[in-house]
Amino acid sequence: MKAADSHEAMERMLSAYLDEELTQAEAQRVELHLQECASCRTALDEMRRIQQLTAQIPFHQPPDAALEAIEQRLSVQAPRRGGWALLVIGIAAWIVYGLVQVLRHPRWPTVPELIAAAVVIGLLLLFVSVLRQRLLERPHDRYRRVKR
Amino acid sequence: MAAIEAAVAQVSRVEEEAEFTELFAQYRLRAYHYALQMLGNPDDALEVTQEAFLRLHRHWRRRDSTRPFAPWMYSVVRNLAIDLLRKRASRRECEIEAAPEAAPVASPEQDAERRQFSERLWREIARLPEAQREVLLLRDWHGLSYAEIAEATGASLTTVNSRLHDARSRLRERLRRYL
Ligand SMILES: [Zn+2]
Repeated sequence: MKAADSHEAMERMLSAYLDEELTQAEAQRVELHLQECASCRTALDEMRRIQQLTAQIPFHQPPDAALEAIEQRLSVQAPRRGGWALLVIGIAAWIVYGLVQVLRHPRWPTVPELIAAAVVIGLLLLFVSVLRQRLLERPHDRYRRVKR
Repeated sequence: MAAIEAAVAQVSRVEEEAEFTELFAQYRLRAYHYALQMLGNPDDALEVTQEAFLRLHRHWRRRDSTRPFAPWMYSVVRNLAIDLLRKRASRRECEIEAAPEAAPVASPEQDAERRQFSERLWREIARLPEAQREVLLLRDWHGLSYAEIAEATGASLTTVNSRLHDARSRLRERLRRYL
């Protein structure tokens, strides 16, 4: 370790010293310097005071109802996503199953099979249209404001 | 088989949802206050808080669970607030400056002198260059470590360190006679 660290170098480390973000060796160097430098002691005290007072600045609290509304939206988002996932998996499974059946036993489909196919295709179309709408709305929706 | 898998997935989803709800309860005020400190307007702060948590929620299942939640949350709030500030600037709706509206509210525990100093301190913090202000608030108001601040803001540790030093030097200069 060098004999004397410069005041300038030590002064620049005070802020990190205050936050206990220095290595042990660095902190020791700062402490040695603090013992003999009144100006750095004052600086450290002032920074500490600013830190404590900043932590105590009180800010406006949001209304509980507003936070609850956010929670509400979060809980709506969850099952909906689960529902979409199941729907996509279900549709994919139906399509694969149908294709396999047709390839293995080529024949005219029965009435129930035709109905099932109609349902699957219908869901697929709905899904695609919702997806498209979501993508189109995205840039506008993102910054939509609550009020004003 | 598929039904069992779906049921298992559903259970783990429910657990993850519970975990997220807990984090929301724990962090929602911090997110709101950080947005408020950046934007200066309670309505905007609420909007950003909502959007941030919806976004965090959307990415929740794909997150890197080894990383702590706080820096991620702060970075999402920060990005949304910056987008909003930019948008506001381009619309010239109002000036970008840490709006005094966000400033200290009267708190019953504070005596008059304390309150006055709070207001003065906030005015000086609001006048800091944006990069210094955000680091100071994340450290001294929100209590984040340098590593967490670096992660939340995308700056290096060295930058975080020097911005804090600069912010504090400036505040000392401006507030010395009141300290
Ligand atoms: Zn010194």
